[in-house]
Amino acid sequence: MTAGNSDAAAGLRAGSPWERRAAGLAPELEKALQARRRAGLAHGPLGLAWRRLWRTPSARASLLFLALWALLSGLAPLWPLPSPVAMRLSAEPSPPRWPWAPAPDLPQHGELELRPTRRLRCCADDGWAHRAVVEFSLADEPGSGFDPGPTAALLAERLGQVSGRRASAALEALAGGSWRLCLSVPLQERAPGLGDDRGALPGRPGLEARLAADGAFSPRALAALPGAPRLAGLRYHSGTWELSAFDRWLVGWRGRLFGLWQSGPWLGTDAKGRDLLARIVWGSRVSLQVALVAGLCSLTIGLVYGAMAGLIGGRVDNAMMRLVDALYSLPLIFGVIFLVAILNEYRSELASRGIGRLSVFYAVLGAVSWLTMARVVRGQVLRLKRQDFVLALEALGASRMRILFLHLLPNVLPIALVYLTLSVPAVLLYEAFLSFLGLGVEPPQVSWGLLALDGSEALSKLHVFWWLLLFPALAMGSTLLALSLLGDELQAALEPGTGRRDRA
Amino acid sequence: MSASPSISPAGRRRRPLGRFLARRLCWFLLTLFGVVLAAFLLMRAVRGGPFDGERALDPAIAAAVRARYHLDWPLWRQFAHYIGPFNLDEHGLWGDGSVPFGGALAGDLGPSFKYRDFSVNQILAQSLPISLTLGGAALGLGIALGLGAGALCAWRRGTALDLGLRVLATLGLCLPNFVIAGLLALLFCFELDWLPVAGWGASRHLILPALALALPLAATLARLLRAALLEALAEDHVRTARAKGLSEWQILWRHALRPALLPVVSYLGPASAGILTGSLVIEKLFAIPGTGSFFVMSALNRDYPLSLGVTIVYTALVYALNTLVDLAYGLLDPRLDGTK
Repeated sequence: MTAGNSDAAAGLRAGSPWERRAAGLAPELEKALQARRRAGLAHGPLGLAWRRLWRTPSARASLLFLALWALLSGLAPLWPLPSPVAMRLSAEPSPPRWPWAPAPDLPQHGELELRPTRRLRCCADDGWAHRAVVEFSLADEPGSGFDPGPTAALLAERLGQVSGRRASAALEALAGGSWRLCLSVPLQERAPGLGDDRGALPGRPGLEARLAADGAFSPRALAALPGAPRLAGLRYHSGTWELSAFDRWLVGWRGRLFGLWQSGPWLGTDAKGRDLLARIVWGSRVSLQVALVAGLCSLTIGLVYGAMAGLIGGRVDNAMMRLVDALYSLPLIFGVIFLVAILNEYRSELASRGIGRLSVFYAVLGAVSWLTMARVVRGQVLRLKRQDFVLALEALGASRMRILFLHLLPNVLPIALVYLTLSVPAVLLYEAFLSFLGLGVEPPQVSWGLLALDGSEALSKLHVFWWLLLFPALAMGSTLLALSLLGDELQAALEPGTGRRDRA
Repeated sequence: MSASPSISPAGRRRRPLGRFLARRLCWFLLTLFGVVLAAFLLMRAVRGGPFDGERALDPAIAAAVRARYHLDWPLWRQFAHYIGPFNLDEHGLWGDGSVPFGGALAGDLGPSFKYRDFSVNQILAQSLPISLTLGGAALGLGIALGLGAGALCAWRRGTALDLGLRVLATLGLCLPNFVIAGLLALLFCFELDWLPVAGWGASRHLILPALALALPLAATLARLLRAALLEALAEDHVRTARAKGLSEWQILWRHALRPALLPVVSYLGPASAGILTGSLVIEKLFAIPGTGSFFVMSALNRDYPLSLGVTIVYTALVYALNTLVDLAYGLLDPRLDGTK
């Protein structure tokens, strides 16, 4: 009923008082109908399911929680976290320290809380390549117009001579008229001891010893230079984590937003002084990425396989499902371990073709977790196939592929989505499991499985480093819990009649 | 779906058990053959073998080593030698005949590449009992805990006890078992100092790993049983029983449990696979010299015969358990014909 129609009707039948009254009500009725139609149109079956989902408190909580994780891990370079691979060598892990507790072992902490700088790129922990950072502090009389550039260039050149590599410099003005100069020297890729994450670092590259032995870096020689530079420290950055362009852009924004300020060891550090909070956030990046991509992989394979089987039917369907049954009865994890171990042999070839270790991982995990999806999709397709609209389409001469891709798959997608929320946790567990066994993500990178491995390796009778195990476990457990709750509720929302999966 | 059991009309003659078992055996052999063939081809095709160490071997020594493990033979001959039942090397039927039979069909899984003086059979004979003890203990413990908790939840449904157990079960499902194991170790070994951390030999060593393996299983079983019991309690025959004045416990035990056990039993197949999988990490974590830890080591060390042998044995185990579960189906509910 449209507004014009009702007006016309009201004009025609404006005779009796009742009719006049009805005509007066018509606009209201019209408004109500429109509102209802809007609601109905804007919320089709999917929209309704979404509203049903959003009304459930547990589903809403898990959605919000997952969104929070997505934000945290997706924008990890933006947050003022320490580098997850920068080491501060100490004998043992340091326990969690609350943000408001004083920082005992950070002498330079006072200097760090200075005005924001755009030169963060070199000075803060953006480095995921092996390198040493030599820090100098340069004093400056206020208002003397001292130009630190030549001194920086001179020191960089000297450092280049000592280390045999080109040093790059970054200058940063500190409050009170002093400067901080960070010279970073690239170390060789996979330097012995540096490349593997498990060795102790001090003195390995020998840069300290060479600096001490070189006369040009003696306190006296340094004091003679303009600005009287003082050697403030030497740090090593280990790892081969190349940041993507997007991540570097985020790092830039981090500099603009937070300056040099970064969080303290709120969740403690591990034995190599790496910040646990940063490692959990950066680890979530790898873990969630693997889970999501491998989940989508399994979704694609399962959809195509199941839909083909269901659509073709007959003997082909039977054979395809027999294969699924056979695969179901195998302990697939053995195959996965086997496959990953064998693919490790071809790592360099794959890498030279631009296929990283993680991509291999996605493919392998996706390749083993599509079975349930295929079964479910096949069942749905079989059900849909018998419905009248498919018959009508066939009668109209639509091709099989057209029916499959344009009409069947969109109808199957909601239920496939439910199984995606169930297969993502499974893949997440797989990743953790394989990383735990040493077959998954490798040390310069970090994932939740590796953190759990670190945590359980750090368990010892003498010192109970509980935080190393508890916090990664909490992160993993809460994410998996949110995902499984969401999956249950999503299913309940999409199929309101059937009840929940197992309402236990 | 072909896997769902059909409801047979009352009085229909059951299909003979022997035929069912024979069919399963055929499928099993076919599957296993596929697995072995794929794995064998993969590991022979892969570049770099277990003997490619940091140092290059002297060519003569390398040739001798390759000859010792028959890596210089053509692929089909290696495969036939591995599968058996005829021994194809110089001691075989066509050689001097001293060892006429060999290969997997004759129960010989070949030599280990990495543990030079051991055959895969010896390693399995040593480690499999350990893993089976652990797995059996975990399975028993998981079933006992899961069924107990599930029945308790259904019996006292709606109470705080029910809610608490359900929350625990959900948590148990959401944590990987190695994390559970770590947390248990943190609690019982380090804080309370009740149990040893690692090792094997005494029964005290068994408790923690078995518990860590059992808890996720128990959580799943508890959820399944609770849901199934609640469903069964809503049925007519239970109402009749209630009308007869039976106690709640009697109703639960005598009338609701049997139909409710069905989904639980059907889950036991995947559960056993899950326990075998979990034992890979748990054995590594608790330093238990079981088959799982050997498998992981062999995969990392490129000891292909050992990893293939373990895969064969574990596949057979899981398959046998699945078959048993299907048989148990028919016993529990005569309406369902598990031996289809």
